[in-house]
Amino acid sequence: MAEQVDGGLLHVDVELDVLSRNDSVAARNRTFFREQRIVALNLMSSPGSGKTTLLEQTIRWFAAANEAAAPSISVIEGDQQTKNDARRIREAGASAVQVNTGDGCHLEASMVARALELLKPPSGSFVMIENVGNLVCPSMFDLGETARVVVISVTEGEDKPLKYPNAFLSADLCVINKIDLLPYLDFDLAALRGNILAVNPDIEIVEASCRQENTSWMQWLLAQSQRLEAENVGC
Amino acid sequence: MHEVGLAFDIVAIASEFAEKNGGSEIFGIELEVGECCGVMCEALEMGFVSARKETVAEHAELRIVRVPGVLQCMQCGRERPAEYLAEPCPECGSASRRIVSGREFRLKSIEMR
Repeated sequence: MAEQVDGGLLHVDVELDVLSRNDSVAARNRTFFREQRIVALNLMSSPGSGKTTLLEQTIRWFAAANEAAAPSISVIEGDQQTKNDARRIREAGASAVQVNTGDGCHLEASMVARALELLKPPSGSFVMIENVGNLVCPSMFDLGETARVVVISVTEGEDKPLKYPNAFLSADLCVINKIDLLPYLDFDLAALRGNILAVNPDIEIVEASCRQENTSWMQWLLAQSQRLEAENVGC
Repeated sequence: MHEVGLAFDIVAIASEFAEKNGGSEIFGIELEVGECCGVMCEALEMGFVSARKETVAEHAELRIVRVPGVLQCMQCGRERPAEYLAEPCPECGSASRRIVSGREFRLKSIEMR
C-alpha cells in the first residue's frame, strides 16, 4: 500500500523479512539435501570446543565401523581464515571444502550453496557443516540443514547455555565434549545438563570424547540417517 | 557483528523494492526488530551508515520499532516478558515455553520519491 506523505514523499509498505534472501537460499539447500537423502548437520560452538577433532574422529569411526553400511561423510569448514581445518578433515579421509568468511562471524546459506557445488556430496551421505566458532551469530542464519548440533566442552563454563541461549535454543542436539577431562576439572556436569535443558527442554544431549569411541553420538547420527530414509519411503 | 552484513541486506532489499515500484531515492526505512531476534540495534544503526553510502538510500533515515519479547508457558499458558529465556514460569515453574513475539526482523515500509 502506498500513500503520499509530507514533502511529496511516498510511504510504501514493504513487509519483507530481512532474512528472506538467506531463507530462500536455505530452502533450496534443504530441498537439495532432501532429494539427495543427505543428512546435513549445522555444527555450532565457541571456538575450541573440539568440533573439528570430533569430526575427524567421526570420519575414522565411520570408516572403521563397517565400510559397506556406513554412509560417507563430507565436510564444509567455516572459518574466518586459513585452510587448516579442511586439510585436517581430508587427512582423516573425507572430502572437505573450506569457506573463509574473512571478517564474517557466521556462515550463510549462499556460502553453503557454493560449497556444495564444489563438494558434490553423494546421495545418502552426511554433510557436516562446521560453522564459524561463535555461539552468537550463527544461530540466526538458516543454512538449510537437516538438524542443528551445538557442541560445548567441559573446559567451558556450566552457565554458558544461560549466557548464550540462542544457539542452544535453536539446536536439536547438544554434544557435551571432552568428557575424558572431567577427572581433572572442577566441573559440574549435572549443572550444565540442567542449564541446557532450562534453555531448551526438547534438546537431546549426548556426551562425547575424542579419546574414546562415542557410541551415543554415532547412534544419534545413524538415527538421523534412518529417519530420513523412513521419511522418503513415506513420500 | 553480523549486523553490518544485515544492514547491507536491508539497503539492498529496500533499493530493489523502490526500483520495482518506481522510486529513485529512499528517504526513510522503517524496520521492526524483535527483542529476541538476535540483532543488536546499535550495531545495526552503525552498519546502516556504511551500507547506505553511494546507494539510492544514501540520505535515508533508519527508524527501528522494537517488538517486545514475550514468552508463553506451554504448561499453564501464562505470558511473561522474555528477559531471560532460561527462567522457568513464575506461575507453575515449568521450563517449557514458546516465544510468542520478539523474533520479528522485518522491513516494514520505506519512504521514497
